[in-house]
Amino acid sequence: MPHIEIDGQAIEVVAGTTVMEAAESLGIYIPFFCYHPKLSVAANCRMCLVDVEKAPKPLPACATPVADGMKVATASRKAKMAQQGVLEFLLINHPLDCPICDQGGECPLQDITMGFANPHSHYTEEKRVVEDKDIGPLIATEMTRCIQCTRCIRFGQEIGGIMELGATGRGEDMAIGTYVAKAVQSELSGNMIDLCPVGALTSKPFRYKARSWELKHTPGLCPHCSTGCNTDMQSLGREVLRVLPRANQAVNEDWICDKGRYAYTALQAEDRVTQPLLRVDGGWREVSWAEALDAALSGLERVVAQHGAERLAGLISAQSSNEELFLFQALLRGLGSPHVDHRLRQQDFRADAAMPVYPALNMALEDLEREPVVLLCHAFPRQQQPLTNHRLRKSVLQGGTVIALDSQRQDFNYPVLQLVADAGADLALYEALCSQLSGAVEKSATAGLAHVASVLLAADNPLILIGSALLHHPQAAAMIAQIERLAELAGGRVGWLAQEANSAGAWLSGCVPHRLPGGHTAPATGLPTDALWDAGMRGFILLGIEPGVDAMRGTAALAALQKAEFVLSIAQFAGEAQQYADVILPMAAFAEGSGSFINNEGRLQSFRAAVKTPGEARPAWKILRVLGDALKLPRFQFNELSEVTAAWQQEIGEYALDVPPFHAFPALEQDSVPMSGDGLCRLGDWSIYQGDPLVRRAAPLARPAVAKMHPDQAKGLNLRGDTVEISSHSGKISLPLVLDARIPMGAVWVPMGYGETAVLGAIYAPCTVTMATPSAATANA
Amino acid sequence: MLSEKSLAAIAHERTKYPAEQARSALLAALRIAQEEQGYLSEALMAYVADLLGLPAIHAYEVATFYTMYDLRPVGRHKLCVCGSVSCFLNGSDAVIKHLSERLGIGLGETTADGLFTLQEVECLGACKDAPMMQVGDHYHENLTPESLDVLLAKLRGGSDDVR
Amino acid sequence: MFVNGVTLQNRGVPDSHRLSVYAGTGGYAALRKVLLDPIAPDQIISEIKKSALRGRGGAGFPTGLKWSFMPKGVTGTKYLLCNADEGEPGTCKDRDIMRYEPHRLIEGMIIGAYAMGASAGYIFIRGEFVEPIHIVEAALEEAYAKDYLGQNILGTDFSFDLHVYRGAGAYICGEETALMEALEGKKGQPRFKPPFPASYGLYGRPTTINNVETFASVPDIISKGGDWFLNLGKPNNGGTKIFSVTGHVRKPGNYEVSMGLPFKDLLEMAGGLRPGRQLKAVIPGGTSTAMVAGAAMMEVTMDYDSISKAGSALGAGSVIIMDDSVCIVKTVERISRFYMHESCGQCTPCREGMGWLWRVMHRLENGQGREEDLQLLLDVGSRIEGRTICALADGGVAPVVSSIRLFREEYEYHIQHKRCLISMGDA
Ligand SMILES: Cc1cc2nc3c(=O)[nH]c(=O)nc-3n(C[C@H](O)[C@H](O)[C@H](O)COP(=O)(O)O)c2cc1C
Ligand code: SF4
Ligand code: FES
Repeated sequence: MPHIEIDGQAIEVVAGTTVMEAAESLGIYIPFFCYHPKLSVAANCRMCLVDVEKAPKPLPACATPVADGMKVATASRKAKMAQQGVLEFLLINHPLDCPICDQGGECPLQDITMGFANPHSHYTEEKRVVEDKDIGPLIATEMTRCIQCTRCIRFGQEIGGIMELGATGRGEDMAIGTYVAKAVQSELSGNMIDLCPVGALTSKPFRYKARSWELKHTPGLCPHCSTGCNTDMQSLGREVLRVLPRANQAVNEDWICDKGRYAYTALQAEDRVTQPLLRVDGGWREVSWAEALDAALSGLERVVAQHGAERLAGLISAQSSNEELFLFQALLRGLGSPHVDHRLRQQDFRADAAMPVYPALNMALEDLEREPVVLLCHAFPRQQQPLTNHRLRKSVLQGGTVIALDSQRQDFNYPVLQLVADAGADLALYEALCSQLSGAVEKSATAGLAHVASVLLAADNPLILIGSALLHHPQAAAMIAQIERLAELAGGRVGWLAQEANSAGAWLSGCVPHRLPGGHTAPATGLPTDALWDAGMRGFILLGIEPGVDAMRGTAALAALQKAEFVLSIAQFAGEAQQYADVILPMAAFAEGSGSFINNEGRLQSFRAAVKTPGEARPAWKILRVLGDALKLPRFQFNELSEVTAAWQQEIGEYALDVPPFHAFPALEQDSVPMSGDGLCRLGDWSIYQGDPLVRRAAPLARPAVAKMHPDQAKGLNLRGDTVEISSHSGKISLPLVLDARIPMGAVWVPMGYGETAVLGAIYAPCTVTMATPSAATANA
Repeated sequence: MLSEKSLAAIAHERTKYPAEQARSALLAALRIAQEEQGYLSEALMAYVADLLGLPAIHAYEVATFYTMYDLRPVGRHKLCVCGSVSCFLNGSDAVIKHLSERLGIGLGETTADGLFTLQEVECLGACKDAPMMQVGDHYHENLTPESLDVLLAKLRGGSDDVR
Repeated sequence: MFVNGVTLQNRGVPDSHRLSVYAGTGGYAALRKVLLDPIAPDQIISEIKKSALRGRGGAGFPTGLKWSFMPKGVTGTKYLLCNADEGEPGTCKDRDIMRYEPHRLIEGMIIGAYAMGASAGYIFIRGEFVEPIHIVEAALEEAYAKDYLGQNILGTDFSFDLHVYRGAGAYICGEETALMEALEGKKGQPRFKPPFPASYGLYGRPTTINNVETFASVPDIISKGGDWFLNLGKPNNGGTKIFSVTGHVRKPGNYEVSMGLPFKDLLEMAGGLRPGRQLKAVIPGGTSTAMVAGAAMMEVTMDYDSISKAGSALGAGSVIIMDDSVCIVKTVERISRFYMHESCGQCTPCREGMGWLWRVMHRLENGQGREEDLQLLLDVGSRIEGRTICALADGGVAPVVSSIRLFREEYEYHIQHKRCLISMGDA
């Protein structure tokens, strides 16, 4: 290994290390702009020039590999002259508008100028002005400030996986922009803002809101998927103004996705509840906590007294903390109700007994990037878990293979071997693959299937990951059974891609109808969510959810809730709850509460409140504690959150990071689900920015709902024009139609998570699509 | 968006490179597209990028980097007068002045009839025959006011292939 | 004196670009000898080393040594590239080789490919050279038809495919790694080295690149011997070299002469100056090389060593002659504009510095010069030089700095009188 010396300090490093990396490990700072440890080396800014003994010219530290015996001076006269010279060139065309620039205070150019520049510039010619382009609602551009370091471009190409930004023109006309004026689409786009070393790319929603040095930083966790990205929540007074990634190489590295970055913008949504609300004579009144709690308690007691506790059900969001989930099930079970659940999107629960203690990846996220062969089963992590997807992308770039089985082709940002089921025949796809693997069929109907089988058979212990979308299928249990078989045939192992930030915690804390905290079998098994809508429930407690859009059958959910005698909604937003609730208790939202989550790896991470709750809103754990206490339930006497955490921990015990992916399967009854029928199979899943109450209210992320269909299908149905009418047995809507060859024939794709699409009911149900009558189209617009 | 002939020409270009290096044919594909349609519109660049399986921004970067691509319509004859040092020493400024007076347009402009665009370009590698200019595929060298007038007359006369 | 004897030896022969004509004058005999005799690859390389052939593209790197860097025993494709981007002002020799002697270039490349084990190659020709492109493409077809290219050449195990790649207008593509980027369908932006092309070149494969004239020198070196070539010139400066003499001479043109010819003889071959004119300054190797005062140039011989002793470089052999009718400031302003226009834009000092230099030159030329401008130009130049990825920026600094050193009074006159010492009128 080469021995080198930097500024007189000796160090031994592995061959191939750059001078920049060696200096970093010695704690020696060399100024730079274009260099970033996670990006390819461009060596174009020339800021990191250092003086290498025997080299006639100064060399860029970021790109120069060490050689044995090398002596480097980072601050010799020669190095300093070079650095000052480069800095002067960078500044001649950079507007010195720091006082009005959002980057001010956190600008490497500003900092390095203070530390390294020659105090006066000799430049007297006119400065360059670069035209701005609107690249969408997330990123503000001020391209005159750009120093052409190309970090944003390299990020798009190398990390984001879609090349949206580029540098056009050449020489001093070189400018960064998109292809014509087009909004950037990447789900990781916001990271380019963090990478930009000047104020050329800044956050549009954050623009002009505050100066960076005024902001308070609180370590947080992203609540929008099971990756568990670490965040830095930045606030001023009572307001969260910005969410940035907090580096954690084991989890999110240096990044977060746009969901995690921009969802905070919904915290002050119009229907945010900040005061307890009581339904009085069909209207709503803001009341005191005392009055609201009274109403809540008497409502609950009335339902239990009149109809029995088995007519009361509780549903909670899996974005809730462990502490909240734990208290929630204790409240329901304490009241005598067995009906506790968090799985609003599932339709088939026949495999409940076979489910693992919690949906575990069964490996470290970091190791995912070294998996040679991964089979994704109805999983599209690019939308569902963007930074878990990033690990898979890395594995593919390093030569790994990712295979995906799904109901439609997905738009991965890396090459994936995709097998798409015939519309609605998803189970058949898994069965066919199993037959192929077992050698039961000589020749496969499709070459793709045979190829996938051969890749799996050739692989040593391939990783099979079950996606959340699989659980949404009406034949989920049968598909899971096939996957268990498949794993055996392929000699692979199985992990789960959990959906929500705390899906793992929800299972472990006992928020499923058949298991208690710690995964112990419940003495009385309650009904799963989807069954509750038709079971004549008389009372509901909801926490952090909006079943009208969060549940698989939104319309059925709304009907059941409206029919119930008493509904208590503990919520951040009142919009939907006002349709059915009797009492709405305002709870803390993202960044306002403290607690802990368990991510997909089983990693227990905690977060603290960044800001005070608005108005009278309270952290949900406190609301649950007060309710339990007032109902005189045992073990609700907590003063501090830490006491709840301790009680939770005690109850669930030590949980394993590697859990068996399945328990023994119960014999499945014959599938009774009507998979065909007339019309098209309606595909769809919760869209990336529609998955929970907060993110769907984030204006900068909003994307209108559209229906998608294969172009040939549309032609076959003689659909002309932009808007179509889609009807199912439960309702009909008009939506703009987008032609997309990724959707299989015989299907129409309509997203979930939108108020307007909920009327269609569950996915995979038959639908018909016709041209919209003009009146229908306008009614919807 | 492109004729069969152009598509075939692009397909032929691809055969010169390893199969996984379709991108190598991008410069040629843009040239072929421009030859057919006169200039590279945004839609045309995106189309060409798509043909080769590349992001549109990629074609755009390339088209704006190289000087032989036109992103706007130009005259039927682009008069590219070399203004680099050897031509300059031999009177390229006078050539530009002469053309500018004859055509009534300045540098970068196109005549009203759409026949001529006048441009000053950097060295075209014909320095020993200065002053010179390129029109279409051809170099015209050792230019004099007289030879320029003869050439303009021929081009006006409808001839595209003037050597 | 050996004139026009190697790379342009058939210029003037009717249809010299045709294979039949080339073959009739001994063309492809070297290749046949190499493949059929056969001569071992290592032996070819040592013959090239012996010839003291140095790269004719500008940097003058010993060709035999470069060829020996190509890794041996690697699996997969190795590439051989020809640099025919010829874009530096004053340079116009490769175009004539391609127009008159395309087969000499092709034969040189095939021999090179054999010596280095390359199985594919491209001739990168600047896009504006439409006529040479067509000629070289036709010549390639002829060579394929005669079994000099393609699979199992002349029935041997050796295979080599060669294509023309057309540039699209960018001087920077003459820089070898920018050329590779362009060949990969990208913007021609030079790569940082290391890694060098011999280990990581086109498509990341081992690659060697040479100039047109370099390759065209190879067939005769092989058929007549390295010593023969060396002795045409002088030690360390073997062979003949084409000098493109342009600017203020009566017979501008490409003169292929022995290395070491006195400059004054070359000037005479080119017809000398126009009547009544004095030699003011010479740029001996293309605009990227430093200007030399006329008097000093008259003492120089045309070879790498002598010109470098005079403070400049032989470069690509592009000799730009300026007589006393020339305004140095205006001429350098024009040269400066070229570098601003051609900077690829990635390195900060080049992207920002080339424009800065030109703007100051432009002001000076337009009578808005200031006292401090000359020092400023020298300072800016010193902050650019040696700090960029490729040598374009250094090339842009050289004419400015060298002309200020040589013709300071003329610059000062511009500043003081707000106009030219010499009016170039409309030239
Ligand atoms: C800005 C720049 C432009 C260049 N242009 C050319 C060129 O047009 N033709 C050429 O042969 N070499 C050119 N070169 C030199 C090449 O990089 C390279 O050294 C040469 O092609 C090697 O071939 P040789 O060893 O046969 O000279 C240029 C170098 C630079 C830095
Ligand atoms: S020196 Fe200039 S031309 Fe060369 S790579 Fe850098 S920016 Fe590009
Ligand atoms: S950080 Fe090394 S050149 Fe930019």
